[in-house]
Amino acid sequence: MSVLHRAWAIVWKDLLIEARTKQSFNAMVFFAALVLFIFSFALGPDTELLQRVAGGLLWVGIAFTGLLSLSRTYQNEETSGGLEGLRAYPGDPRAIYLGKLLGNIVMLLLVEAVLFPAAGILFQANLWPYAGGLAAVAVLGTIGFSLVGTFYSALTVNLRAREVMLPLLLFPALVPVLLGAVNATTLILEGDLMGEAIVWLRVLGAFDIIFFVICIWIFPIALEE
Amino acid sequence: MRKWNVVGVVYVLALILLWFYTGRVEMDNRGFVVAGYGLTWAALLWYAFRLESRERTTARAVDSLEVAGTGD
Amino acid sequence: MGPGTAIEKSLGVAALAAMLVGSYVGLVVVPADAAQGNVQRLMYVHVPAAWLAFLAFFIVFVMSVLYLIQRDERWDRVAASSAEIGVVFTVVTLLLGMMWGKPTWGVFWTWDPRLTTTAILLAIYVGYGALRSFADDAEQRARWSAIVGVIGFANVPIVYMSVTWWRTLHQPPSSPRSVAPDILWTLMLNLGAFTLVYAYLMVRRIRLARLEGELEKRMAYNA
Repeated sequence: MSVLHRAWAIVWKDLLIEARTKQSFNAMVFFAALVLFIFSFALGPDTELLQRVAGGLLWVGIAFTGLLSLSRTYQNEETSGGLEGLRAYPGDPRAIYLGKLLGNIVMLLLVEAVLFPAAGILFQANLWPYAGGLAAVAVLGTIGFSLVGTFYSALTVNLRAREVMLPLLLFPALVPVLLGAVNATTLILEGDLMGEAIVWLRVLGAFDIIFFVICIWIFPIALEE
Repeated sequence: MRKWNVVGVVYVLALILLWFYTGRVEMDNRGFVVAGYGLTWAALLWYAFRLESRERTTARAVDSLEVAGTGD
Repeated sequence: MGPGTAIEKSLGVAALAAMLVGSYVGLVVVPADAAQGNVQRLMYVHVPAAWLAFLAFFIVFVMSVLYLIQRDERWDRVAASSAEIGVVFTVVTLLLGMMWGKPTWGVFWTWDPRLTTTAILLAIYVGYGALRSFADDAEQRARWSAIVGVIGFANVPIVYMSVTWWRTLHQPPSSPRSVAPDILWTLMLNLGAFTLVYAYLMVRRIRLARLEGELEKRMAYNA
């Protein structure tokens, strides 16, 4: 079985479990909506302000929600002994990384599909004219987030104080993704008169490519006995 | 207990300094500069002495244990 | 083995002497800056601290790569030592930067690319230290810190470029003033002093790391 085959098997298994229990998805959507709601309260009724910061708030919401889902990336394997459960998978460990990565990306994108319209409503911003650009940012940003997140999640799965270690390790590494995503989103929502959003999309794209290569390459070392 | 007292004192001092500096913003404030140099020296010296004490403690602990067996 | 070899002791003395001279020159000998006044003197400690922090983290990166290739625990010890010392220098850098920033910029903090990247560096290597303290198995600890050391440092140029774009897409970068020779050689002097301090602290810290490794082995054997 090739690496892609195995990866696909893992994605399919995880998504099937998720589709049946809807555990993660519901929790993530609820949490994300809650975050957006709280931000709206904190910033007050000033519509103009909300529209200006909508991009940033959206991605803060996505980041926290993503973190929630990341810590459960390997949960299905945890019950069979954490990293040992992961190591028990036959074949190239890179398949595990790819599979988990795809699973995380799909889950996060599904949540964002709900979150973006919700943000549009809460922050009174009309998103439809910008759907294409926003979709591009969402995909590139989510990939970047999931790349590093899935990797560090494996590192911390057996660690004590895992709930603290994952964000501590993850967020400094995510700065380019957050900067790129927030700035691109904000520029797009403002109409992007000077065509600057593309610069940020390129930053996101470069980050995605670079870290895909690095993480795929190093993952087997992380999983070593 | 001693360790916590030091941390507490440093914390309170830091707050006082912060309040002090927030109020006085003059370019030519030499006190500012001396405080900055003092901070640098304090940090480096503190770390050096901490290293020393950690080394002593660890060396003592090592000596008190049997050497690990051969063929490790 | 006594508390220090002759080389170590002379390194320590040299570092101390150099720091004394450097601080004296920076505080007293060199004339105050025409534009910024006395506050500019903070640059003579702030800039070297920043450079040494960066050097320290670069060494962590090199040692991490070496460890991943050769799996020799000596590289891990050097990496861990450099990371710890780097954090000390980074904290000093940030604090001095804030002290300089308040009178000159009017604020303690600004989202300037270098400042932001330095703060993120601090977060990365505090995370590195936390990871080490939570990993119990020595080999796993070395391997994972090496991974974090490599990824963390590889990310720094990307972070720096991102933040620079973030700050300059809407405002042009400030043009650097030409540096007077007085300022330059005082800076170099202090840079040399700080480098000696780093070298001395590294020697001590690596020795401590060796002792800790030995302690771990003996505790495992005696358990």
